[in-house]
Amino acid sequence: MKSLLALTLSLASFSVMAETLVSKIHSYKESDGFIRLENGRVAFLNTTLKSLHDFTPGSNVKVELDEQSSLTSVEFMENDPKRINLKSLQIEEDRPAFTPTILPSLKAANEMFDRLQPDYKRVSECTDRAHVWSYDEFKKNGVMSQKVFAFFTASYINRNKYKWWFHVAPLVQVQEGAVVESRVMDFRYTDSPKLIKEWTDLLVFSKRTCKMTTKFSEYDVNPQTEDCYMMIDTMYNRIPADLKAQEDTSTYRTSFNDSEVKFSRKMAFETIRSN
Amino acid sequence: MKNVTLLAMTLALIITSSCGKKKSSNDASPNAGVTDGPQMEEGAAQVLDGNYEAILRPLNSQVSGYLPSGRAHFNILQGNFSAKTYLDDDSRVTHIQSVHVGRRCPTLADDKNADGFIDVVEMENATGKVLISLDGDLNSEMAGQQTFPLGTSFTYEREAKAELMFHDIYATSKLINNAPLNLEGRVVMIHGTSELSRVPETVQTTADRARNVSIPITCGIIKRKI
Repeated sequence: MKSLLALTLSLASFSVMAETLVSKIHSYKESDGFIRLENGRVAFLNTTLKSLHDFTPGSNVKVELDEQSSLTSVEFMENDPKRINLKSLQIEEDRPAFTPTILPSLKAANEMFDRLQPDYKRVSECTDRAHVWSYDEFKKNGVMSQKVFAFFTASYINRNKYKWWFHVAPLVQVQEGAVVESRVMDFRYTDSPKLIKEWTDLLVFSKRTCKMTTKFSEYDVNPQTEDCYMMIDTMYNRIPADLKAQEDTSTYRTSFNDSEVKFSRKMAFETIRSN
Repeated sequence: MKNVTLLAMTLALIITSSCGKKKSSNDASPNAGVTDGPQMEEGAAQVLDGNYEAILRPLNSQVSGYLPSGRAHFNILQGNFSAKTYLDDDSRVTHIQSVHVGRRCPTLADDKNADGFIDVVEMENATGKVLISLDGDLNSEMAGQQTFPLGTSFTYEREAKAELMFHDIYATSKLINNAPLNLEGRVVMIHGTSELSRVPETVQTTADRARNVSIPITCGIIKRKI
């Protein structure tokens, strides 16, 4: 009886293997062979789908991906189902000074790590988790943290059939003896604050160091020579488009936006905690 | 009870169809042939009713191009034990899962052959032996063996009578001198990556399990939830 039921359930489950995602298209280059979605995922394209659609950046799409993250269907949507009201977001035209807090010890960093809201949703995006974690520490404890973005190159993605084109987590500065170290607070994937190289080693299987850059375009236009690029910026930036906007329009985020944080919390966490 | 337990599974639960009833010398538990590693200590705290949780984080993520993650929840209440685990992964393979007697997840410091991977043998030097096999039947040490979730992502739910389950744990001498069981601080492991993954021949395995099936992919430490 047990074997029979097990087999039945196993067969019934085949229909749930595809994955449906709703996101904006971040970018698409035919030579890459995949679309970059704003939520960080990539959708690999076959020749037929390449020729059928115009994957314009900024388009809102509902995509279905198979187990290998290959695109099996795409639906273009007129409205943005994830639109956020950013009216109250403070933006400045000169890069403002931003001085990250230096936590007094690794113990303090560990305590902060243990305070991060733990009940992330099973299906959630790193951008939303990182934004809420940074915001909560700022609001509750005044910690000025940063964000560290790792951007994976097209060659790395294609070589490894990697399913993400970027990953982001909060970054804090920590006084460790005589030196100040940067520690990544990626609660979902690591069990403690990690050094940047430890964190990227989890993501970059070649263990190559990610090339640090301050310009998003360096990743965007010259992706083949490295496995990964890395950008460190303020806690206010949520997604790569924010970093791109800094470079393209010289506008800089200088605050959190309550609507955006609320949206991120709703998308990424089970509990909507009051702060 | 067994049927009730089976019916309680969610539709998302996917399990393999074999279910050996007797342990043979060829059984490939992740412990087979391994004698080192932490043992269950004496004098641990009494089993307490309550909720327990482990956040499962990736190990050996370089094998598949994906970061598997998940959670394990345990509830003990008035003689009933329930376990719920979930895993998000991209490898459609049988995922062996178990609670171990040790109290820490393995790290690269446990990679004794320095191949960059923590295999099941190296893992057990940190995690110790299996305390509870999270398989098809928690009521019995023997029943349900080799019946583990299969799939990329899965949700697993099982219930058991604590008395039956702990009886088997004592009977198989997993608790030294019948020391009381305390889940808190124990290690939860999930294994298995696709056969297409990059698992080198230096990765050790046990008994007749393929390397890609035995390689650990997530680990978490159980905490008592308040």
